[in-house]
Amino acid sequence: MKLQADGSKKHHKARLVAQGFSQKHGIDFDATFSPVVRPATVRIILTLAAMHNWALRQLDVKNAFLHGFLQEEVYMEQPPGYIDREFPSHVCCLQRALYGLK
Amino acid sequence: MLGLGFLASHANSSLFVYHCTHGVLYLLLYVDDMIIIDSNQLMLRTLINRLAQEFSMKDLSDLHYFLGIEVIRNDKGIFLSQAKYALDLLTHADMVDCKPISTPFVVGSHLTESGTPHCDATQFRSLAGALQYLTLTRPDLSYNVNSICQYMHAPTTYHFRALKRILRYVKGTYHYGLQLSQHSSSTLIGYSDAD
Repeated sequence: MKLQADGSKKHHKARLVAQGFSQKHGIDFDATFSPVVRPATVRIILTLAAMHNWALRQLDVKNAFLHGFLQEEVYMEQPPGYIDREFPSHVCCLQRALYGLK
Repeated sequence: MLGLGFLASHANSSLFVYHCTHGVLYLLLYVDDMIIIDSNQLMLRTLINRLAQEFSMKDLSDLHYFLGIEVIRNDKGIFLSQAKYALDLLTHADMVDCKPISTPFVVGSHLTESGTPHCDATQFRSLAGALQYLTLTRPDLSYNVNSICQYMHAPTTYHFRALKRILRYVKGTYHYGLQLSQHSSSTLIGYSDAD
């Protein structure tokens, strides 16, 4: 639940999460990759900006994780409450990355 | 990113560089946190517009915070501070009211593997890891934090005491940071120790 500054209710927030723990290595994931910014890189970039007096800007991408494409074919069971009445035993083939995936 | 003409850095997967006749632009990306520095304001405008066509995003304008580091412009250049992170760490360690100390380590002391194991190794690892992130703007802590991190696998009560001593030093110096100078030189200088 997202609250306003005064504590009153603003809106509800929900996200679809995949059960990444059921993925098996070599079958539906190969490598877990999370990019890490090296401290030295952060310092160099900021030093460059300080030296040349360049502008420093910050951008914020909304739901950045969901923009990722998948290399492997990953299937997911239909989420509870959203099961297709006509095809209840079908599974979903994921097109994009989801929270919880490896 | 590559579609927009950026080159991915070989040295660091989160750094992208864009060269053109008007200047150069560096983009540092961490999951959804992004900072951009550039030599040409016009170039940046064009890029932001093109990115906005692709993703829904917010231009937060001037940089103040990145990965928990406060970025403050002053007349000498840029000052980086993790003061808030340091205070949060002290709260997490339950050491907000501890007595500050002026040095982070006992002079001439050496850590060894022997000793009684510390009762809560997870707590030790969590605090040591947090201190390691603090060294980003606190090179004065680097050596000592590195020393205790060598015993992450089996911390003893003695190592925990050393860790607490670093935290007491942080308590008195939490406002310390890194001043990046306008007049730094981009020459690479190497030092070596002969003994």
